[in-house]
Amino acid sequence: MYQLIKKEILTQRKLAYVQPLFLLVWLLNTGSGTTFNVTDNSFLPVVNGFIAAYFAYLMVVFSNFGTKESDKRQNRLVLSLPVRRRSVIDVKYAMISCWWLFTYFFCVIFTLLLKVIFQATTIQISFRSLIFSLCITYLLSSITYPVYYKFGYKITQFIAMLFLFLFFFFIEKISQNGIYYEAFSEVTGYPMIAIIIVTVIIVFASYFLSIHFYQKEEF
Amino acid sequence: MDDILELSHVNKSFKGFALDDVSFSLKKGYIMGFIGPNGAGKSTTIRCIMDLVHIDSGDVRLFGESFKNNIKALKQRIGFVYDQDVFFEELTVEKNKRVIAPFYERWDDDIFYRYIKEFDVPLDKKVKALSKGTKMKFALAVALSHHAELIIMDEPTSGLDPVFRKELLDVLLDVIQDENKAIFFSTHITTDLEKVADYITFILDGKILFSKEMEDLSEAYLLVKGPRSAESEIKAAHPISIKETSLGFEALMEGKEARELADQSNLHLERPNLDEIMYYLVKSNGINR
Repeated sequence: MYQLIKKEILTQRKLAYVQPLFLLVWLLNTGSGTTFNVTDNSFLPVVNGFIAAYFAYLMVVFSNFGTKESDKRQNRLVLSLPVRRRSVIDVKYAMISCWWLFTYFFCVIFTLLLKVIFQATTIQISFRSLIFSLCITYLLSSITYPVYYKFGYKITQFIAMLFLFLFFFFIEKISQNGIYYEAFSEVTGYPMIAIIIVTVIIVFASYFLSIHFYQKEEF
Repeated sequence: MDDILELSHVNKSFKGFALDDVSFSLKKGYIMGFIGPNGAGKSTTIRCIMDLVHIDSGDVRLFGESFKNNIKALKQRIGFVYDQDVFFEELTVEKNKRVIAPFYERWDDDIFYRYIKEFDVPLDKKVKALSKGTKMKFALAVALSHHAELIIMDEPTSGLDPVFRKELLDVLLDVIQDENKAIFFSTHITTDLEKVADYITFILDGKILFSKEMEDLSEAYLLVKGPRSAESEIKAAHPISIKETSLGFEALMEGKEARELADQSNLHLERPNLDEIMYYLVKSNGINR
């Protein structure tokens, strides 16, 4: 496991390590108070967690997908080393937490910096946003991984792009304090335990599907 | 248990190609050359051995154990060199080593850096910036740095200059001094094998045509050359394959049958090299490449 984790960290694209900086752009924008015209600012930490979740998901995507040929060659190398196929999947799912933690860490640092420098009161973090953010990252990755192991990187790239458009569409809509905002507030208003249980069930289903597809795959 | 690698009745079907009842074995202390034309199934067989593709039936045994039982532990004892660039292209040679080394319990940095120095591989260059030959040298250094008992190489000499090909063969001969090791070496450059291989296994269209000791092979086949006037006589003796030349004909025959013709003064018998054996066997199977 440790060797595979080390491999994931060393082979992650440099761009992935830089992309949490885009969080700063987002936070500066929300910090100025101009992005959202909603009256209730208590949901902003959750939105920030939501954004952090998407950037963490991008790190998951960056860590995996190259081209069809390079994916195949890398799998050929990894599976020729003394590892079990199952361990490869174990590490992929474990690393979702790692990439999320990396992104969220920057989210917290940027938030604190903006609070200190600009006295930006609209920028907040909360335990609820933390859990929600982790769940969202796992849910997005849980949809992506089985698709990747079954259909390859092209469809996965399409899904990642689709998520991107949906994501910004959704953020735009909830910022207008309309029906989307109400729906979002309703979901985030559920007891955290319910959100965690749903996430865990989906992640486990996704994990076993990924194992099934990867065990059958030939390189 | 002397067999370090054993394939028994391995079958694997793909669309338009199949490995058909592939069986052969390799003993400790020997080098086996695995030959065949392009597309014959050499790389596929190696992928079966490495469990990169799943066989439909049969068994692959490594170090006396079925590979299904404990592939992770068995791979600790295997060094591999592939014909494709499998390393992390965006990372330097040194970083690639840092990724790969922790997987092996018996990784030896001293050996690795010794080979890197000997092969003149730049540690600080990205793998994508290396020439094909240098990538192969790096792959070889990795394969030899964890005290592997079985070295599996897929076309390691293709695209390499003659100087490094000679160096590589010298390294292999050096490695095989340890009687507990074995080398399985696929190639279509058969002249390399004639210098180092103890056994030759020939695969054609997914089927093993023979797996023999090098010495037996030179006894098993003979090349018969003669004038056109003797051609009908040779054809009657059922040659494996016959080819007309500007001076007459050349035919590859089973050694025993060819020797029966030896007393005829107009015929000339020669020991064929591996290239000639491969050429005539491919021709006799009616495969155009």
